[in-house]
Amino acid sequence: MTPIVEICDQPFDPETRLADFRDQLRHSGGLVSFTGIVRGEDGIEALELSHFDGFTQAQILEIANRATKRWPLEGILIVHRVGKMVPNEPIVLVAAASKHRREAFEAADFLMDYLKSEAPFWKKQYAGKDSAWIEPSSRDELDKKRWEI
Amino acid sequence: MAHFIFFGRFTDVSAGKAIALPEGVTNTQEVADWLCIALDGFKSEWQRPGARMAVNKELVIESAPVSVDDDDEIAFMSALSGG
Repeated sequence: MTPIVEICDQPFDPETRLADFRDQLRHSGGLVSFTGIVRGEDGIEALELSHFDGFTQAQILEIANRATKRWPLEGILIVHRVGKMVPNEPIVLVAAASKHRREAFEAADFLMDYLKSEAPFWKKQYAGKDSAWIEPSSRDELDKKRWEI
Repeated sequence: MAHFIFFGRFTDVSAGKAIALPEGVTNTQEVADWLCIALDGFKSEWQRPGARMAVNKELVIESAPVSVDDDDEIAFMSALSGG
């Protein structure tokens, strides 16, 4: 099984992408997905994500391959936006499919935790005339540590 | 000329460009030391937690410098914000 990893610089429709992914599945009994969207808190008007072309895709594929070694999965789909986004726009879609639900739930959770802490993205948020880089959070590190047992 | 690219906070220091490596700069440690002197604002970003370097899209471990020359792509990344 080869994970599908896509970086896109244009808005995407998670429902359409998920339906296309589901259509390719043949043996799965569970498909778990997560969609991350831009939070519109604290006056944030836009979020800009940048990535390192080629390097970022390779690092995400490495994360996905770790998931395939850990759980028996039929498929993984990761779609990640880059560029400037406004609140409520989808940033990321992660989906994991497996024969049984537990593996799909755990794999999707694992993938998101590692994307949040190890995927090479840099975020800048804009509020009025101000902009600020978003630093990695300790919560993201703690979430990732759950899997290090 | 080596191709320098910058990500995250490093883009506040430089947009990145092709620069000939000075004589005597032959490995990643020497590149970082040189930029700390030559590029305003670089040193403070390089000293921040999570800053890292890659050569030709391979991460470099600070304690194990690798050789560089004028054909290389050298990237500096600030701490990842994550996906």
